[in-house]
Amino acid sequence: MKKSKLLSSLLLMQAVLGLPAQAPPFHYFDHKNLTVIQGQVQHIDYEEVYGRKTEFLILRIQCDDQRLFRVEVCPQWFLDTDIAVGMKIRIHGSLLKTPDNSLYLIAQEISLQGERISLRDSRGFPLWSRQGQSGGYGKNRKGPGGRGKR
Amino acid sequence: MKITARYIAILLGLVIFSSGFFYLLNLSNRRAVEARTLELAVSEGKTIEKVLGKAALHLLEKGEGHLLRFMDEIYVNDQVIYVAVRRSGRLLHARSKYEGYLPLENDLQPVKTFASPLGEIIEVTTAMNDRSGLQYTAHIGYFFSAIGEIRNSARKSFLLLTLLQAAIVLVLVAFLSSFNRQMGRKEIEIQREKEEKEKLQEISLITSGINHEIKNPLNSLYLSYQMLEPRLDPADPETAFHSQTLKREIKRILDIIDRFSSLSHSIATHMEAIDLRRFFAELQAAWSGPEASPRIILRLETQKEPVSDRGLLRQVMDNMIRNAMEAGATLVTITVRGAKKKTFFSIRDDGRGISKEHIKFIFDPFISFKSRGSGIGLALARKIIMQLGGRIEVESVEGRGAEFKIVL
Repeated sequence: MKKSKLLSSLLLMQAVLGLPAQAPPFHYFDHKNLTVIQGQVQHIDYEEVYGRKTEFLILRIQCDDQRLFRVEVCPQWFLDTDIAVGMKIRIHGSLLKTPDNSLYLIAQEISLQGERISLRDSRGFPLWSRQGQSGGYGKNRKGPGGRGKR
Repeated sequence: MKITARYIAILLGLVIFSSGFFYLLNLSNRRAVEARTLELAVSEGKTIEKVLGKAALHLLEKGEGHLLRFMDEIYVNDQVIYVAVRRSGRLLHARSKYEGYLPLENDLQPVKTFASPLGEIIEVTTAMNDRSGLQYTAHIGYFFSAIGEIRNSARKSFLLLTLLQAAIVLVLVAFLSSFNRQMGRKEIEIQREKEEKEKLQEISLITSGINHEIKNPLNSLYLSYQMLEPRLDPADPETAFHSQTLKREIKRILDIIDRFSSLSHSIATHMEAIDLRRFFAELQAAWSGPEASPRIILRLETQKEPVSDRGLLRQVMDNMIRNAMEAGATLVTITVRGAKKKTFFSIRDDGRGISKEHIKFIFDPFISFKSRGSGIGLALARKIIMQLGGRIEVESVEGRGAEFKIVL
């Protein structure tokens, strides 16, 4: 009885704090599993999700139906729009299956404050990595460059 | 050669048709290059798929780990964008050089291509079963940079050829339209010359009649007057006045008849190199006398000595200055410039100018807009200039003077 109470309390704490799931070890943009969510920014974070010394903007979004999503947006240098906690946001993206069954979304396009920002093409190619504009890996990729605003 | 608007339209049509034809040819050539390049890439992909299939099956037989390590070794290659291995349809292992980019499909098509912001990506897929019957698929996505380069090169040459073609068409159209305009002008000029010749022939007939019917009796009249003159009393002011008037008016009529004749007869020319500085110095000196003469300013911008008829040119200049004076000008500016084999004269005055309605007829004989004009002066000036192998034009705005331009 005590054990079950402790477990229930832990689950309740997680729900209250809204701790998001961590990124899966290898995760990718599945262009066959797309979805749209709409909600409010609850938390903003930066993480090296692909382990290449490029910090990605990670948002925790609480949807209008109260579901919590962890959303991987783009490298922080790519976005020149200010995002603040409490903002309303709409995200098109690819929904991933995580080992802990939490909700993880790789954003393809975000809309906030009347502005639409494209982040990936229809097959998930990151727009910040276009030839001559990207930062990071491979000989075709150079320094930070363009923005994905429309 | 007479070029009509119809010929020009046909030529323009031909130019447009041929440029359209070359554009389509160029476009189809570009498409063919692109299609062939892709065909080659797919053919190369099929070869890779066969090699990959054999190698992957061999490694899988040794164990799953061997296959995954082999895929990682392939991934190191610069051209490779991603590798992936699926077991029973579920992703087992994957690597991608672009964050989260793994555009896998569910079908098992051995070679497929798709566009990306980097260019065309080729994906090779091979399927195999291990000893236990589990199905594995190995995927390699690579960037065949040559496709992009060839396509870009085809696009660049297409663009270049299209631009070149557009430039040629523009030049041709500009040339044809300028040629058309020139021909139009020449036709008008020929027509005008023809009309003028006809008019001069008529004038010639009239003047020969005048010569016969008026000049001879007038000469007799003048001789009679000369015989009577010594008998007249010069001390009587009334006699002196009427005698002078009679003499002056007979001379004026004779002068008009002579000018009429000069319009219809061909003008003899005596060509020589003209020292312009001296020529205009004499002109200025001659016009410095009369009280109402305008001030003459000379701007000599050439050192050349044009070959022309000094006397006839002087006659034309005198006529221009006389006209300016009669139009109330106080200043006449003569500018002379030389270019190649031509000499340009500009005679600009600050007189009353010529109205739009009158300017069209200004060189027509016997048409004068002055109260005492005969309509011969400018017609004769034009005839002289044409005889000297040049042309004369006039520009004027009423109330703001006039400018006569002579090209010799």
